[in-house]
Amino acid sequence: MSDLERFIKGDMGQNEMEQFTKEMVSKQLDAETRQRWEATLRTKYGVKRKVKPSSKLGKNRFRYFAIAASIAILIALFSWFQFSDGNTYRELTASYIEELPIMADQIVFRKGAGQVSDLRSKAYAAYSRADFDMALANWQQLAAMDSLNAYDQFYWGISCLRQTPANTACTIERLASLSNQVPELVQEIDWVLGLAYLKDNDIDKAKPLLEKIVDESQFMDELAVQLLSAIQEEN
Amino acid sequence: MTSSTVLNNNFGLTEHEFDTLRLQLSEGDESLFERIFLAHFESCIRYLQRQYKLPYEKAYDVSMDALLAFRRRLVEGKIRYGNLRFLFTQQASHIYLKEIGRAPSVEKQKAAQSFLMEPTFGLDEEERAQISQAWNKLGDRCKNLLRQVYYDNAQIKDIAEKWEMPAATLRKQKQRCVEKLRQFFKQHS
Repeated sequence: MSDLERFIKGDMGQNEMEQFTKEMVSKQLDAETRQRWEATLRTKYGVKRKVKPSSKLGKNRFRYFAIAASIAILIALFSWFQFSDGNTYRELTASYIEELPIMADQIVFRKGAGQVSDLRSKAYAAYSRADFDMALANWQQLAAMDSLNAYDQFYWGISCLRQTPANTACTIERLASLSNQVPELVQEIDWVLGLAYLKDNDIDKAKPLLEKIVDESQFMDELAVQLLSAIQEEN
Repeated sequence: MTSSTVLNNNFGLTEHEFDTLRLQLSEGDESLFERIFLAHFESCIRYLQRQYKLPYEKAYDVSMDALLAFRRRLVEGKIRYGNLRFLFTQQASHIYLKEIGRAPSVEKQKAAQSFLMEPTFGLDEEERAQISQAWNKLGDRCKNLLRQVYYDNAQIKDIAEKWEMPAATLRKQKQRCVEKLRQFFKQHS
């Protein structure tokens, strides 16, 4: 018997009846809210659900189909010759490095942040607006004052990786010895170090770290699996 | 954490503004919520596209589901000020992973304040259509009352105060409205 049938027959306790009514009302009103938001997104923010198809396609369907098929064949041939270049570990690594500031935000949120000095404030402010050169300059000044804490080192390491061009040696130098000092950052350090090694194409060093992330079911285990699969396909 | 980082993590909202937003939502005023969250809707789509390589339309749908779930948890007081941006993207990730049968690990749920998992009742498409028909048969007063109680999570005593009537009377009215819904289903099943 479905939940709705049990509701109709009164075959529910008081609490369950309340919860089910809430579910029904919410589903109905969610549908109405969804319509209103879709309209607002479309008209006010220019965000539409469907991507507009080309209007000329219908008139010259066969011609366009032939062109599309030719392009598809060319792409397939190209991919066949360069078969390791689709969704490679390099592409995945680049995309995951882009996401690192989001992960770093999560760490601050999850583990809390202490009091920071003016210089440190400037470093974090620069980091949060993705001005990694400025963030690094501030952390370097902190280092000169011997006031660097473990979290500063961690963000410093990420900033090196996000710089253009990336300075992986700096990331590795900052993070390699950090795990022992801050056990609460071990999972994050493993992930960033793994990405830094991959960025260097140093698979021998990256792979054990990624395997550790998967074996220990760390936070980034799903993405580590994707990287390991991509590496395996290419080697 | 600097104030600019805190603001950035919370879609530009201060803690006071966040409290105001929640209060407004519980009173049925969605204007501030919509202004803040719809402005960031596209960034959620981009996040899903990058993170899971989703096609645009799928990322749009998941973002919409995430926003609705996020609104619901806000009115239920299950979301704290801190890092709304992270919670929103985690909500979206959770919805997508659940859809493809890959629930996030226990650690991840803990990291996301354990607010993601929630038991729900099974309602298929046909049943949802029935609910919609039944809802449309209800009078405006019933709709308004049920909306405030079940969708905006308002307390009966607060609604009673606004409507200037005894809470006990209003509680009875709510029961009658739910009964009307049940009767409609009975007649049509």
